[in-house]
Amino acid sequence: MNRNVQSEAARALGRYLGTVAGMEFMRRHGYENGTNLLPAHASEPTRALLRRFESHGLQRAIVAVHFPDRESPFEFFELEKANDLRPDALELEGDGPTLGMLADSLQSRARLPREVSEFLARQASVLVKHFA
Amino acid sequence: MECGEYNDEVYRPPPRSALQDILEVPVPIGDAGLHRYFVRVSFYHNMVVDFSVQQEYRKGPSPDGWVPIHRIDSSHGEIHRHYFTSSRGEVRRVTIERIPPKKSWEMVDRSYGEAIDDITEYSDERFRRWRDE
Repeated sequence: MNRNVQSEAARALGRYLGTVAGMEFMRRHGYENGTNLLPAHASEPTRALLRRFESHGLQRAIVAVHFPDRESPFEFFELEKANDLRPDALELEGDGPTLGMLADSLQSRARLPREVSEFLARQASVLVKHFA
Repeated sequence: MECGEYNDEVYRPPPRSALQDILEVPVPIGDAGLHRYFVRVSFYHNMVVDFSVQQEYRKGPSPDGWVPIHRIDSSHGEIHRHYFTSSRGEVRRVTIERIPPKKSWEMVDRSYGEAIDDITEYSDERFRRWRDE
């Protein structure tokens, strides 16, 4: 993934955490201090995000999907590794949908494209997802 | 409470009991699982009145395996940086700006955003210095 885009998502997320909206987001959803917030750009493929989730050894994280051109620049969802996760469970064929597509689908802002619905069906048993 | 309490002209954030909230959030960055920054922000009157932003490297696999590379924070009445190296730990502390007696909360709030920009923009360069010095 483009390093600059990823870095910009990280910067924007940090700035967001210093706003009332960021503070209220964390508290409204009951996220305790120490919860990992994983920044990602809307164009990032799901597969790349899952690799990062794994490489950081995370069990649970809130994914902050950055849409730099939108008035509300972040959409959030939660990833949690199920206890009975198979070692190969996070492997995807291909890159999977972009996170922007996934986030919009989960928010019901867009009709679920087939590749997203198929992805969700494959991952439903291994990842717990819901909108934050 | 007036804007910023002063004791010998040194800015002190509002007491913990008066704060709206304190967030402490790890933000994993990069693809290798070895880098993150850690944010601590204290809110009062909808502003950041105290903060720390620390770039960290994962030296070991345990959850406690994170070590500091660089930190910008607002303690001791000034915005300042802490420099670390892999071999010697903290090697120096450099003042960026003293927190003024007036509009101090606004200044700290603004400085938080600038600290985030700084930490995220120069993370690669700082990591190399931390590793090599």
